[in-house]
Amino acid sequence: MTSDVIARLADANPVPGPAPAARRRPRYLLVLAAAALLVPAAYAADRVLGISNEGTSVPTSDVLPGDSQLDEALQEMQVGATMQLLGTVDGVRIYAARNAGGHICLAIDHVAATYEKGVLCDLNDPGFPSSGQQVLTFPGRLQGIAADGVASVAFVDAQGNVLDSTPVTDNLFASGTRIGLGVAAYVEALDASGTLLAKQKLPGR
Amino acid sequence: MERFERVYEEHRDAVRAYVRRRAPEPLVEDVVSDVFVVCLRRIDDVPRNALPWLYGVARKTLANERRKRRDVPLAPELSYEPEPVGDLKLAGAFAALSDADREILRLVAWEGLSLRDAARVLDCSPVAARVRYHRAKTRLRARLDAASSFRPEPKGATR
Repeated sequence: MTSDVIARLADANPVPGPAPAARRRPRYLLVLAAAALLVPAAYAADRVLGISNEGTSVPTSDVLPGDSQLDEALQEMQVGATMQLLGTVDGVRIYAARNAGGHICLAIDHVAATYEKGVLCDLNDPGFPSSGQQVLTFPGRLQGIAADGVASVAFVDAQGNVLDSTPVTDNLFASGTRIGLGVAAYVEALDASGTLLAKQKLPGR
Repeated sequence: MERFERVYEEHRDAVRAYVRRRAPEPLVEDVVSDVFVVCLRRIDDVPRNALPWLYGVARKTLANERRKRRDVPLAPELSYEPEPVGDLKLAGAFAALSDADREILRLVAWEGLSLRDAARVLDCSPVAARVRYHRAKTRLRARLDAASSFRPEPKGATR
């Protein structure tokens, strides 16, 4: 009765199968150390990214030097020849650009750890920045960009418990805590008085 | 890009579960990400039945990751593998199998793949997968039977 052995092994599965992927998820794409895509929102015509911090233009080829996979991912995502270097937070360099499709794409380079690099674009419509999309972050760690007026961001679980939070400066934030994919259910954007501006569902939840 | 998005949304959770069944938690996110980078780059090569292909990429990525980190001091404990839960005897018998035996059994019992799809993951013929599977199953059963027939010596009865 060898099939009993397989049934017994199946019952002892340490990670029971995931739920079917039928439900609608936020439209992010996450590639390597994280990558996603975003559709343009109603953003000020004079601002390429729709936020006050417009950064300085740098060649895209300089964004993630030495990481051919991420570099190719940027090309696949049709990011143009330049990206905007928005700044550095705790050693994390944050870049953004709109790709050929008008989506905002984000790139993060943390020089100290290979796996803290990542690219991300957002496919939400409307996407960042808009009333419902005040934050563009990697889903496993609070690193990314926030709309004007956002003073802090937080990961919360499905029960509303805060898992991690970090301040926003010049539209940028970067927490050193890795929460991991699928752990946080939402990212919250708060203003300086702590008022909730937006609560966004994270991909994978 | 649309196709990649569909593949990603449809299979991300399954790929993550596959990796979590074979690697310590600190590695999972990195490996899953690597798998989808490969998927994005090779989207034209991804077959309609994408999941076995993705599992195959994950399997190679895990092997590469283990190789890369083998010589890194303080790297996560890569010899760790999640084991069957709630059944100590089974866990012991399963752990005693070879890597190849464990993998084909996991693919069928935990991922729920057919032998044809398991063959795609393992990059072998369906016939070879069937042979591997039956041999692995037989060896697991034999180890379980051996464990069942073992009776510890009674203690404290000597004079």
